[in-house]
Amino acid sequence: MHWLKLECRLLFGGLSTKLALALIVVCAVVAIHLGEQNYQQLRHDQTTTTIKFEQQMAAFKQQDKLPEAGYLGYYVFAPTQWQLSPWTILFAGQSQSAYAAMPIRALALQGQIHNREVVNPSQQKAGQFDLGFVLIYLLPLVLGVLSVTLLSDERQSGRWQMLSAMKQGGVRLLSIRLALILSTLLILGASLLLLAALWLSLPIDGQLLWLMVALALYLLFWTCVIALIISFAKGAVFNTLSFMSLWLLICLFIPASIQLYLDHRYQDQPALQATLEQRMVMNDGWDQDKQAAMSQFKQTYPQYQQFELPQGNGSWHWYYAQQQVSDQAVGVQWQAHLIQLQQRANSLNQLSLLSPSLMLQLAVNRMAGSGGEQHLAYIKQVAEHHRDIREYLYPYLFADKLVTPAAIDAYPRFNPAPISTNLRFSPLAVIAVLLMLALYFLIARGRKVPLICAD
Amino acid sequence: MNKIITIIQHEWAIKRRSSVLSLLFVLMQLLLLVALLSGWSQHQQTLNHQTSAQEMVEQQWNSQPDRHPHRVAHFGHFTFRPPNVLSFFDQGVNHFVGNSIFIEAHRQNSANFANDQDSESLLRFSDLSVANLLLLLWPLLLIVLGFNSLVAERQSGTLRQLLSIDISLGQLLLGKALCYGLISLLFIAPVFVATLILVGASDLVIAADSYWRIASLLTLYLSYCLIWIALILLISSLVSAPRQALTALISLWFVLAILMPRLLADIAAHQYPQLSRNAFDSEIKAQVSKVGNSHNPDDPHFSDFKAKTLAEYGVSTLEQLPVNYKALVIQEGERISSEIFTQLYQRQMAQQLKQHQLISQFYWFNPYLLARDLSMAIAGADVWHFYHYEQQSESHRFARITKLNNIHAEHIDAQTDSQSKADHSLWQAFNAFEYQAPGLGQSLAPYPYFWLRGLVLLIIVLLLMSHNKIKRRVYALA
Repeated sequence: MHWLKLECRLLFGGLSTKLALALIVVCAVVAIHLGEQNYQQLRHDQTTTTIKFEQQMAAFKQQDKLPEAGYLGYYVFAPTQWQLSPWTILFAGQSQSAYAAMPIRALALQGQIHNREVVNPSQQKAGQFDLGFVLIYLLPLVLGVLSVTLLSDERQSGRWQMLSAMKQGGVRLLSIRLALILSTLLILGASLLLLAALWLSLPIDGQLLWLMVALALYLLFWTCVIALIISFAKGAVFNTLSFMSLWLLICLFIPASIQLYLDHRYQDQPALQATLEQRMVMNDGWDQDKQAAMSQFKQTYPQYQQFELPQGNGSWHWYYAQQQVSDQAVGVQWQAHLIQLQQRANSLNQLSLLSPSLMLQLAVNRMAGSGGEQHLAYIKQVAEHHRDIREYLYPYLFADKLVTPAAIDAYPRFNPAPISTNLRFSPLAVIAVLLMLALYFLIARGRKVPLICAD
Repeated sequence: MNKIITIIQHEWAIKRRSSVLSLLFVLMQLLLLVALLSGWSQHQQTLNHQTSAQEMVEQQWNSQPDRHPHRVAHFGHFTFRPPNVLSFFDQGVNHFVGNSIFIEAHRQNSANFANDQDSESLLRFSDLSVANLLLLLWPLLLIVLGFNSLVAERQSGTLRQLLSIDISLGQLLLGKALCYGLISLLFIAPVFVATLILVGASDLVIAADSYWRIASLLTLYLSYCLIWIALILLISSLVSAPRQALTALISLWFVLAILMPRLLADIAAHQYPQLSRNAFDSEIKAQVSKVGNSHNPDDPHFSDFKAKTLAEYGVSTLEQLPVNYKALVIQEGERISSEIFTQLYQRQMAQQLKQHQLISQFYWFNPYLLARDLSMAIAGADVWHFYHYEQQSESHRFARITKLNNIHAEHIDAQTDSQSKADHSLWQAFNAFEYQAPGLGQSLAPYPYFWLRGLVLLIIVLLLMSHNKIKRRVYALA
C-alpha cells in the first residue's frame, strides 16, 4: 500500500487542497450550528404560542362570567404548528421563511391564511446556508477543482508520456486517482452527515443511510462528468472552464430558468383574487338583508335550521354566518389557489429531472419535511383546523348551547400530522440512470480516444 | 504611452487568436438578452396585474353605498407597490417581498402575496437577472480570460524579455488591465444599450432620474470589472503556474461571491435578530393594552382623554359635544396603536440596519457584496425601497382611517350611531395611494461613502501590486 500513501501525498499534499478540504469542514460546522439555532427559534415560537393560548384558556375558566362563544371566536387565536423534523436543521427548505406557527381564529380564513413571517428579504436574497448547500453545491465544486486537471497537469509537466508507457500508468492511474479523490470527498461528506446526526442526536437509521447513498450516487455522477471532461484530453483551461460551466448550468441556470418558467406559467393569482373578493362579500353583507346571509349559512349547516336571528343590531350570530358565507363565496378561487400550488409543485418535480442537484435538493427537503409540498400540506391542515374551530363554536352560537368550563377545555387543539418518513427512491434511481448514461459515454469515448496520446 | 497601447494591442491579438473570446461573447450576449427580456416581461406582467387590481379596488371603494364610516374603515383598502422601472435589470429582493398591503382600521398588516414558492431551492444562487449575470458570471469569465495573462508570459519566458527591455512591470500590468477593461466594456455595453432602448421606447411614465440610474449602473459595473481585473492580474503575477492561478482565482470567486454573502447574511441575522411575526403581534397587543382600554369606563387614560376633550370644546357632558365622542375615542385608539406599531417597526428596522452594517463592514474586502447592494439600490429594488413603501403605506393608512374617523365624528349622530350611515358621496373625496419612489440620492443613502470603499478596494490591490516585496517576487519568479 506504499503507492497509495504516495498517491495521497501527491493529490492532497498541496496547501490549496488542504485549504479546500478545511473549507468544507468549517462551512459544514457553521451550517449545522446556524441551522440548529434557526430550528430552536422556530420551535420556541411554536411552543410559546401554544403556551400563551393554554394560559388564555385557563384564565377564561377562572373568570366569574365565562366568555360567550362570539368572544371566543374573535379574541382567541388558536396556535398551529408546521411539524418539521430535526432534519430541517440540515436541510432547511422553506422552513426559514414560512410562517410555521400561524395563529388562526374563527373569522374568515381568507383574511388570515396569507399572512407571512417576518424575514429579512436581503437574507433570503443572499441564499440559504445549510448543510445541504455544503453537500449539494460545494462538494462537487471541490471535487471538480481537485480532479478536472489530473490529465492535463501530467501532460503539462511532461510526465504523461512516461506514465502512459508504464504498466501501472495511463488510464488506470488516472482512474485510481479519480477514485481516490471521489472516495475522500465521499468519506468527508458521509462523516459530516454522521457528525451532524451525532451532534443533533438524530436517529441513525434508514434515513441517514438513504442520505449517504444519495450523496454517493450524486458525487459519482459528478465524477463521471469530470471523467468525461478529462477524456477529451484537452488542456487545463478547457477542462476547468467546461467543468465550471457545467456546474453553473446545473446548479444555477437550470434552477433559475425553471423558476422563471414556473412564474410565467402560473401567473394567475387566485389567492389575491380570493382575498379581494372575500372582503367585498363580507362588507357588502353589512348593507344587505341579514336574513339572506343566515339562510345561505343554513344551507351549508342545515342542523341550525331552527335558529332565528334576534331582532336589533349587533349580534355575533349574523357576524359569524357572514364570515362563513364570505369564505364560501371565494371557495372556487381558494381551491384554484391550492390546486395551482400543487400543480406548481408537480411541474417542479418533473422539471427537476433537468438538474441532478435540484433533484437531490428537493428530495432531501422532502425527507426533512421542509419542502414546498409539505408546506402546502400544512396550509391545508390549517384550513381544516379553521373549519374545526368554526364548527366547534356553531352549537354555542346557533343552538343555544351554554359555554361551560368543560366546553372551553373542548376547544379544538391543532394536531400536526406526523412527519412521514418520506424516503423517495425515484430521484436516486434517476441519478443512477444519469450515471449509467455518463458511464456509457465515458466508455464509448474511452474506446475512441486512447488517452495515451501525448503532445 | 505608446508602449501601453502596444501592450493592449498585443494582449487583444492573443485573446482574439483563440475562438474562446468570440464564443464567450456570443454566449454572454445571448444570456444577457434572455435575462433582460424575461425581466422586462415579468416587470410588465407585475405592472399589469397591479394596475388592474388597483383599478378594481379603487372602483370598489368609490362605488360603496351609504355606509357607516367605521364600516368603511373595516372594509379597508389596498395599497400597491409598483416595481421600479429598472427592476427588470436588477430584481433585487422583489421575489421575496409582497407587492400589496391590505390597509384597515386598528391593524397594520404586512405585505402579502410574494412570489417565493420554492425559491429556497430554485433561487439558491439568486435569479436569472442581468445584474446577477454581471455580478456572478462575468468575473468568472474574466478569470477564464485573464488568469494566465502574466503567468503564461512567465512560463514561456517572454516576461523576462519584456522586463529586460524598457518596459516596467507597472506598464505591462496597466496595459493588460486596460485591455481587459476594454473587453469588459465590449461585453457589457450592449445590454446597457438594450436597457436604454427598452426604457426609452416603452410607454411607461419613467422617473426623471432613470437615465442617471442607468449611467450609474454602467459606472458601477465597469468599476466592479476593474476591481476583478486588478485581482486577477495580481494573482496571475504572483503564482508560478497557470493552473495555480486558475484554482486560486476560482476559489476566490467562490468565497467572495457565493460563500461570504450567505454566510454573512445568516450570521448577521443571528447577531441582530428581529421579532418573529407572532412576537411582534403580541408585543403590540401587550403595549396597546398597557396604555389604555377604551371599553373600560374607569380606564385612567381614556378618563383623562374624556376630560381633555370636554375641556377642549368647553362643555361639561359628552351629550353637549358638537361631535360624536365615540369617533374621537376610536381615533385616539388608532393614534395609540399606530404610534406603538411605528415604534416597534422602527425597532425591527434598527435591527435590520445593524445586520446591514455588519455586512457592510465587508464592503472593504468584497467587491461582490458592494456591487450587489449598490446595484440593487440604484435599480430601486433593495430592501430599503421595500420598507420605504411599507412606511408610505402605513402613513396612507393612518391618514385614510383618520379621515374616516373625522367623518364619523362630524356626520354620524352620537345618539343613533350604530343605525346611521354617512352619504356615499363622501367616499369620492379620498385620494388613491400612489407610491412615491425615492430619488437616486435617497436610494443611495443607506450606503454612505460607497465610492470610497470601492476606491479603497482598488487602491489596496494596486498597492499590493506595487509593493516592493511583491515586485521582487514577480521579478524573482520571472
